Amino acid sequence: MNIKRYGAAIAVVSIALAMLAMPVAAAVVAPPGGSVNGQFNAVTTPTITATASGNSVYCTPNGVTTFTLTATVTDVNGAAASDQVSAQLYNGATALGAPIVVTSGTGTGNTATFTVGIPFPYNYPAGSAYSVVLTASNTQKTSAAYTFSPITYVAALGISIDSGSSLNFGTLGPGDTSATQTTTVHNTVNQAENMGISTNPWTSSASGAASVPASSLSPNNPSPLSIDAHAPIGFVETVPTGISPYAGTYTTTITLTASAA
Amino acid sequence: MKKLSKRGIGGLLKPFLFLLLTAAVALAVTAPANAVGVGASPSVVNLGTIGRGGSATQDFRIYNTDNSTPLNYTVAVVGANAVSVTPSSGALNPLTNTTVTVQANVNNSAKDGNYSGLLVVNSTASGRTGQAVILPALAVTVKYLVNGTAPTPQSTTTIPLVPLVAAGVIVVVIAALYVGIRRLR
Repeated sequence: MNIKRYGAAIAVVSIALAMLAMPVAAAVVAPPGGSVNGQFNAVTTPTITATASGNSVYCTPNGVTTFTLTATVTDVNGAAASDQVSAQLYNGATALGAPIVVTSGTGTGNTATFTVGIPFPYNYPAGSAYSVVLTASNTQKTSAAYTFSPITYVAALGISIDSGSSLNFGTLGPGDTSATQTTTVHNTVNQAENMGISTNPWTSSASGAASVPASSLSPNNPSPLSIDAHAPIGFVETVPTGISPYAGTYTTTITLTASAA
Repeated sequence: MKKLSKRGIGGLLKPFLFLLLTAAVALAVTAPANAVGVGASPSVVNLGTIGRGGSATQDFRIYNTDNSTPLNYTVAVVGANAVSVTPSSGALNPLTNTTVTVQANVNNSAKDGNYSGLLVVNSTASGRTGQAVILPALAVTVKYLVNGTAPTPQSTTTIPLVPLVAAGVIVVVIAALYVGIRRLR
């Protein structure tokens, strides 16, 4: 009797276990791409949008400004399915620089967030035809794109003295003309610049000595300076006659004023 | 050995001394010049539309673009009487920047129209005797439009909160007393 009872119980348990095992077996043999019992992800395309704190980028003279975009990627297979976001900067139809690829995002549910920094070096021209094309791709190798535009790269002003920040014209007497002394300037911003050159009178270290007028210095003006140009400015000093008394060591300043071309 | 002893230690060192002197001269010749650089962003400060009697402010940044030399600067307003800048001078360490605030105060007699001027950013340096010192400078444009009269600020009456609450409590107490008395009757 007992044996029969136990046998029946074992049989019932076996049948129950077999029934439980059937769906698992079906899942294991399901064809790829199927969606049996939620064990396989459907092939889907992500969606992407992007935001920024503004549409203007201010040039950093002789430097780089980073424009930050926040890309939001949605994928029905979950945030972890969003592989990466790549961003390409364009000025009009021209691609600038290499694409920026961001592989680490944060997210919950179906939404992942990627922060992308787009570099704007000082030598990209100012203008409002800039845009960024962001492409999101997922683990299933499908992708979607979003264009963030317009972006305005705001013009700045800047110059630096590469060499010749102080010039020595040697020893000169009335009526003498010096050799050309050269200063090299660098346009360090995102627009062409004009150069205003103003000279000041030479003043002597000797008490009672006459000053030499500013007009005695003749510069050659390289304006306009294109973006990133390194331009030489030559100065020649011609000491006028009739300056009396002249004596001592003479000193002056020359101001180079950059303005938008 | 004999030759060496004849020349002595001084004889041995002479070529090295010559080399050292040559190196020193070369260093002196190729020493970096006192390079300086200044920048301003943006190149145009637009204060927008201002009504007569009104004012507006806008910031711009001044940069020391040199990586080794500190920058002393001044900012002068040229051709725009209504405009002022704060601060109008300062010093910047290499590769740093600062914010300068531009303000326009338009008086009540200003005429409608576009106004502009320059913010001249000058770098300053002590003169070097016997030399011409080159100073970089920038001419930033400042502009604004005067249109109409600035709206007068709305006057508001402020009622102190404590007396208001106290008055409310008194009203409630009186009402409660009134109801209580009526019920007793």
